[in-house]
Amino acid sequence: MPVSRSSEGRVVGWQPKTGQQALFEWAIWFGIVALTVFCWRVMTAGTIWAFVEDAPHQAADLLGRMLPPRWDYANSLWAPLWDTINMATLGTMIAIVIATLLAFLAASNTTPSTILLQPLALLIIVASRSVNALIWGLLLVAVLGPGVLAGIIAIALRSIGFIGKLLYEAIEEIDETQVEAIRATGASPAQIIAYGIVPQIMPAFATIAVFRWDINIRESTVLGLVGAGGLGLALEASLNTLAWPRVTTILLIILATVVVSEWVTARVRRTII
Amino acid sequence: MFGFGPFAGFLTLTISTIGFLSKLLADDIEEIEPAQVEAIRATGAGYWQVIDFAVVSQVVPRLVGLTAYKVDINFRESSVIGIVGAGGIGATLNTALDRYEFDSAAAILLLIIAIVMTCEYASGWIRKRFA
Repeated sequence: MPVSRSSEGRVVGWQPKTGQQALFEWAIWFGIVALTVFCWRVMTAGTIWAFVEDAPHQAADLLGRMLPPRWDYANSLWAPLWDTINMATLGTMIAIVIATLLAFLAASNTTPSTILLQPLALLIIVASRSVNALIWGLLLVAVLGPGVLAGIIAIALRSIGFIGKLLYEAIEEIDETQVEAIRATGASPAQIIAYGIVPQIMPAFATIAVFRWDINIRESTVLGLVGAGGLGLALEASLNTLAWPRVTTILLIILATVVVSEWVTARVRRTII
Repeated sequence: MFGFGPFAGFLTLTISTIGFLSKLLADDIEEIEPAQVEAIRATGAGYWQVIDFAVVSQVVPRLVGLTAYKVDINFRESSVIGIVGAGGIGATLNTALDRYEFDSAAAILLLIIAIVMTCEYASGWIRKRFA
C-alpha cells in the first residue's frame, strides 16, 4: 500500500507508488536501457566514425555543388513528370477496383463466407500492406523490365492493402438500422449493398481514394529510383552522373508536384466533408 | 555523408520519428483537461511538478499508442532503407535480386512480411491495451 502506518495504526507517510510497483517500473526502464545499448552496439559495429565526424564538411560541400539549380534542365522533365502522374493515377484506379471487392469480402458484416473468403481477403490485404511499394517495384522491374508498367503495378499492389484496410474498417462501422430498413422492403443482397451500405461509405471512400492518390504521387517519384520510370529515373540518372545542379532542379519539381497534389486533395476533402 | 551501414538508416528514421511524434504529441498535449492542471497548481506545485503530475500523466497513454504505431511504420521502412544502401535486410534483398538468386529473394520477402505482420499485431495489441 502506498500509505505507511505506525504500530498504533496512525498514518505516518505516503509514497506515490508501492514498493512492488516501483520495482516493476525500474525493471522496465532497465530493460529498455539494456535493449537500447545492445541495439546501438549491433548497429554501429561497422560504422566508420571518421566519416561521421566528417559529415558536416561533406554536407556543406554537397550543398555548394547543388546550388544554383540548373533551370534549363526542367524543359526535359515534362515527359517524366507526366509519366509519374500517370503511374500514380492509373495505379490508384486499378487498386480502387480490386480493393473495393476485397474490402466487401473482408468486412464481417458483408462477407459471404467467414471460413474461407474472409480470411483469404484479410490475408491478401495484410500481405500487400506489409511490403513497401519500393520492394514491389524492385521485384516487378526484375520481372517486367524497367518502365512505367512495373511502376503502375507496384503502386497498385501497395495501394490495394491500404485502401482495402481503411475501406473494410469503414464498412464494419456503418449504421445497421439503414441496412435493416432496406432489407425490410424485400431487397435482394445486391440491392441491400447498393442502397443500404454504399451511400454510407461514400464519403469515407472518396477521402481514402484521394488520400492514397496523394501518397502515391510521392511514392511514384521514388519508384523511379529502382527503375520504374518517371521522375525518379531522371533523378537516378542525374545522381549516377553526379550532376548535382540537375538533382536540385528535379527535387524542386518533385516538391512543387507534391504541393499541388496536396492542394487538390485538401480541396476535394473539403468539398466532400 | 555518414558512410554505408545501419547508422545512416538509424539517423534517417530518427529524424522522421522526431518530426512525426513531436507534431502528433503537440496536438495531444493541447487537448488535455485543464482542470487537472489547475488542481495541481492550486496545491502550490512548481512548474516542473505541474508538468510531471498533471500533463504527463494525461499524455502518456497516447504517447504509448503513437510510439507503438511509429515503431510498426519504422519496421516497414527499415527494409526499404536498406535498398538505398543503409544496410539491414533491404541490402540483403537488393543483393539477392542483383545476383538473380530469386529463391533467396523470396525467402527474404516472406521473412519481411512475417516480421511486419507480427509487429503490426503487437502494436495493435499494445494500443488497445494501454492507450
